[in-house]
This record gives sequence, C-alpha cells and structure tokens, in this order.
Amino acid sequence: MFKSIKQIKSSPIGFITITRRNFCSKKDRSFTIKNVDDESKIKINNEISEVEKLRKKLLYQSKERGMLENDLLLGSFATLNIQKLTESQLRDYNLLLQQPDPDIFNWILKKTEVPEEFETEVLKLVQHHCKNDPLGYTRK
Amino acid sequence: MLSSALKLTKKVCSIKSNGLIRNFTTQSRDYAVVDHTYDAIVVGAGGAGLRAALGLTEKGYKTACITKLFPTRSHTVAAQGGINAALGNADQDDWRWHAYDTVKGSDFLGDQDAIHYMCKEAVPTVLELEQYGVPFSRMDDGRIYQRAFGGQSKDFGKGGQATRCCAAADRTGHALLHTLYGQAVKHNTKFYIEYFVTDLIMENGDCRGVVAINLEDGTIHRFRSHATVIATGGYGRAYFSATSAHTCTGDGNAMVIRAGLPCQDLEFVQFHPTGIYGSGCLITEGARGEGGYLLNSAGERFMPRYAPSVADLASRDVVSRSETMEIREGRGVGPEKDHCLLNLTHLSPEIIDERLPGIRETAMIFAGVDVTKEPIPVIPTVHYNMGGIPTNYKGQVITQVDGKDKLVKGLYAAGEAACVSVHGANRLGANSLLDIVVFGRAVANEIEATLAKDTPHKPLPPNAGEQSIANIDAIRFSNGTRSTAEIRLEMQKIMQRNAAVFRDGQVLKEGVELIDKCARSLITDLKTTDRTMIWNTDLIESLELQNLMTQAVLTMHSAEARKESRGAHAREDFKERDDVNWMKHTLSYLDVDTGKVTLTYRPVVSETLDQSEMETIKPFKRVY
Repeated sequence: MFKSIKQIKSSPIGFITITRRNFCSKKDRSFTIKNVDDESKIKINNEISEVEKLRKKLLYQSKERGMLENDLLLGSFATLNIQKLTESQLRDYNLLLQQPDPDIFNWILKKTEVPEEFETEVLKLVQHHCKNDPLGYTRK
Repeated sequence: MLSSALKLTKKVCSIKSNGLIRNFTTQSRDYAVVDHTYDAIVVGAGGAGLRAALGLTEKGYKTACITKLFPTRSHTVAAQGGINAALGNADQDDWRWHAYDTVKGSDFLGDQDAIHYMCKEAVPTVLELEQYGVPFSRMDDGRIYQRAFGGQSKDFGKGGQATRCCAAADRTGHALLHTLYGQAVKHNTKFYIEYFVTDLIMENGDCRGVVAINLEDGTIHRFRSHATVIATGGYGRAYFSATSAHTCTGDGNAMVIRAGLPCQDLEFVQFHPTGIYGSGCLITEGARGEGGYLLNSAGERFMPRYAPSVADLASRDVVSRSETMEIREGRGVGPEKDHCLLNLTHLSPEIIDERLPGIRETAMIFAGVDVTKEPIPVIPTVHYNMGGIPTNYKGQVITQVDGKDKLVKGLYAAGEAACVSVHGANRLGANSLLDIVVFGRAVANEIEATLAKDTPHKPLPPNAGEQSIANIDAIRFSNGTRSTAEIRLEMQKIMQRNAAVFRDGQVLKEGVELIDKCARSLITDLKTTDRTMIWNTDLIESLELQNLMTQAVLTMHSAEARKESRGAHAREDFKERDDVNWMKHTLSYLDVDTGKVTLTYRPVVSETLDQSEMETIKPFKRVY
C-alpha cells in the first residue's frame, strides 16, 4: 500500500523518498515525492572523493566493454590494480580506455605498434599484466 | 525542510521470517528524479540502436539514445564476419536465393514475411551504409567486395556457394558503429551515455517511456516519449560459457518481461563447439580444419563415434552435441568433469604459427595452456540468441490478448533483442549484422509513418518508476548471504548443464526445478556491499543478474515444453522436427514475484509480403 503521492509539479526535478520497513515485502514501501526549488541543494548521500569516483568509473569501464577479450583483460587488470594506480596513471588509463577496442586489444598484447601518446607507464603495467597469466590460471 | 529530507535515520533490527533471521536497516533515502521528454527514445546503442536513432533524427524527430556503454563499445564491435546482401558484385545473385537460404537455415521457424523484407531490403540498406561512410572492403573497380560464407547458396540451393557477404576488413562491427555514431551525432541525436535503463513505464498496456539511472551521479531519470525502441542485444551471459561480452545481459528483454509482456522463442540458443572453458573466447573452426581433434577424459578421440565419415569436421551442432553427450556420460575432464579437450600437440609449432596465427597466444592468455604441449580445454559456447521480444516485420512489439496478436502501442524492438523472427530456430552467419541494420531502419520508417511531429505529450502516470526505484533501493541495501557473483555462477552452471546443447525430458525437468530455486535465491539471499549510487558496479551487476535470471527461467521452461527437435533446439527424446504440432513460436511470460511461468504459442507466418515477388517456401527436411 502506498501513502498518497504528491504530484511532481512542472519543475523537472523532484525527490522520491523511500522508507523501507521490510526487506521481503515490496508492498510495504511508502513514497513521498517532494519538490526541490534549488537544484544546487540536490545532494546524494554519496560522500566519495573525485579520485575515488574516477577509480570506480574506470573499474566499470574496464569490466563492461563490447569485446569479451578486452572485458577479461582490462577487467582483471582493473580489479587487481585500480586502487593502486596514482592519479596521473589513472588519467592515462582513462585516455587508453576511450580508444577503439580492436586497437586497445592490439596494443596491450603488443601485436601492433602503439602510437606515442599512448606509450605510458600505465600501458606498460597493462601489457605486463596481460603477458603474465592475466586470468589467474594456476600453473600445474 | 530540505536538510531534514536528507537526514538519514538508521535503526538496525532483525525479524524472524520463515525461520530465517534477516538483518536489515530502516532508513529513509532520497532519490533525485529528473524528467525528460522526447518524441522517440532508443535504448541501446549497438548496430540496431544507432541505426534506429539515426533514422529517427534524420526524419526530424527529437530523439534520445540511452546506453549503458559508450556506443562504439557495444557488443556489435566484436562482429567480424560481415553483412549478407545480394548485391551481385562478386558473382551473380538474387535476394530471393538469400531469402530461401534464410528460411531453410531457420528450420522453418522464421516468419517468411520478415525474411522477405530483410533480404529484399538488404541491398538498399547496405548501399545506404556505404553512403553514410562505412569503409567496406572494395574490389579493384571500387565496388563493394563480397565473399563466401557458410549456409549461403545460389539458385535456391541448387547453384552452389554464393558470395554475398560484405565486410570492412575484419573490423566490420567496429566500422559500422563508428560510422553510425558519427552520423547520429551529426544529426543531433541526444546521447545519454552510461545511463542504465532499468524499466519501461507502462500505462494501460501502452509504453510511455523508460526509467534509467545515471551511473555517474546516481540520479534517476524518467524519459517520456511517444515511441520507445528497445535495441539492447542478447543475453549470452545467462550461460557459463559464452562468446558474448559481459555486458550482454538482455536488459531490454527483462524490462519487457517485467512489464507483463512476452518474450518469444527463448529456447533457441546458438552454440559454437569450441569456446575456451572458463573465458568463453572462441577457438576458430580452422583449428579442427588443420588437424586438431577433440578428446575426452579417457584420452579418446571421440568424434569418429558420432560422425564416422567427417569426425571432427562435422557441422557445429553435431560437434557440440557430441561433446555434451561425452560430458553427460561422465567422460568430461577437469575437477567438475564438465568440459572436453581440443588437442593440437601433434601439429608442429611451425604449422600452428603459419596456418593458425594467434592461436598460441589466445590459448596461453585465455586458457593458460601452451598448445604445443597441452590440449586446450573447450566447451560448447553460447554465440547468439535467436529468441527475444516478439515483433512484426515493421519492428512493432506484439503481445497476445485472448489468443490473438495485439500490438503494444509505443513500443518497438530491433536487433538481437528482437525476435522478428528472421532467424527462426537457427541463425546463418553474417545475417545478424544485416538483421540489426535492416530492422533498426525499419523501426525508424514505421515510426515516421505513424507519428506526427509535435504530437503533444500527456503527463506520465503519477507513480511512474516507483517499482523500479524500489527495486534499485532493495538491491542497493540487500544484506543476505550470497554475493551476486555466487548466484550468477550457479545460474550459469545450471543453464550450461541443463539447457545447453544436449536436451532431453529428464535433464530439462531437472533444469526447471534448479533454475526456479536459483531465481528464488536471488530474491531472498542477495548480498551487496557498495551502498553508494556512484559507479556502483555491484548494483549494476546485480540488476543485470536480475535481468539474466528472468530470461534463464523462461529459456529453461520454454525448452522443456517444446517436444521436438528444430534448429538449435535438439532433444534426444524427440529427435525429429514435428511440423504438425510444433511449427509455432513459443511466447513466455514470467511473474517475477511469484516465479510463475506461462507459455502460449502463436503461428509462424508463412505468407510472404507479396507472393508475386517471392513465393512461400514450403517446409522440407533440412540437410546440407
């Protein structure tokens, strides 16, 4: 059952508040929608730094790509290393991830020449990761 | 006032329920909601989504394209084969021959009006792509280069191999996405990149729009539109071994299911026989062509038992089924005895490097083996989903009311997410890239024909999006006992064991029980750890798991119900195709809360769009 819902007015911004009393029963949720007059006052209760946001973004962008091989290689690299990279390395990694997937694949496996602007410290780390049992198969 | 709205009140309690103690916190949480309005929205920016968005903006509609990935990172990027079109550049050709091949390839489950449409429209569609700037490989005289591909013939199967596959080197998928994205941006399509669409907004059976999370700042967005196009791709990740990227989670199919609408023909899943066990990356068929062969746990080369004359070079579905039989009969390898081995150690390293370049590296990185010393662990691997959201050849989504087809107003689908159905029970190579662009284009054309520009919008229903947000909230704070990865692995293993290539009554019935139990576990036992809303991969993967689970359940139930063998769905207890009782599409519905599955059926369309152009192809036994 829901309490009465206040209509969102013409302002495009509103809040939906959820009070949850019982995990299993979706029916026991009540909602109120509040208007917000000042956009600058919207604050999501996510107290994380810009660097931490960048780390999380790069983790998502490493694990979720259109090419399985890249998902696996970059995803495993990021899972193991994203917390250890410096800010400057994070920026370089960010730039690397924006490139076309077939190119990234060729560069991290050293199949083709890497353009100068991508020959960074972080690329070397990724290349090293790929050449050394990246998916963590234990050797017999 | 605002500050009190943001204040969190925390209280930890535990209650007993069904004998299980569950810990939870009562909290008030605010979710900021932003509303948008567009003429048309497209969910997904792969080949189909981009082509639809481009078509719509070209025609002057205010269009938004919402995608969880940057467009050129959609799974279309992995497509290497090419696009079939009867241009007749390399050899004499006719679109009717292409249509014949496609109808036969579908094992007569494909709708002939849709196949007629796709094969006929292939030529103008590919020429249009050329105009947009897709860098096709060229012959010396500048015309688009075409090559041969499996399953394509001339003269209705009587004239030998046809050469009708157009490609852009070995990067056709990437080239296509790059070109279409550039064009869409040029025409002012509004892109919402890295927004995860969670649900449709429905009102009285019509689609009014969608709800999405902005991954970057955690805000919720509601999009209102006259036309919503779903182009979210397939759901290969429901299985343990799949060649698809980790993003292929069938988000659109699940949204449709949660809206109470059906999915069609989910039991038809295409497998490739040699995907690397564990990672899912493909080992090319060429490895067997050069002399590689499959082994079981007894070290036996088993294919000659199943295909005496061709052994390891039998067709894909025969090889896949043989592997699965060996595994089911206890001769699988590994600690769980759940895969086979592909042996290349008898080939000299020089031959391997010359004829199979890259395979040593692929095997080392993705399988952890040196092919000259050890065999590669392989398993039949999901490659494509023929099933999806049922549509007609114009891309309009269909549901059934009182046993009759009914169009869902405002909802369209295209690409692998849709089931038009052009691939029927089995897809031919290089027809998928064609499918996505033809029907992305068709959807845009159909919307133009029926939607007047500047049509006024009605307000959204007052509670629009609540259920979706409640679900997000529940997942975000779930505090059970099992991680997303654990439940996902269980689901994938059940699907791989019970709904893969080898199917029979007992295996499928067992599968139905196991998958239903797993689905219930997802509802009650899930545990997540990241409580924020910013780039929360835990939340996204859990939402994706929910999506996969709906389709896993329906795939299993649909497969158990279909008592025949047709195309990719092959049953040991019903080995023949049964056109009398089973030449029909399966429609499956799921009530997510109760887990109840409903199956109904609808007929295959055998009438073509125009009998004078293309005659209906009557069913015959499919042999190659």
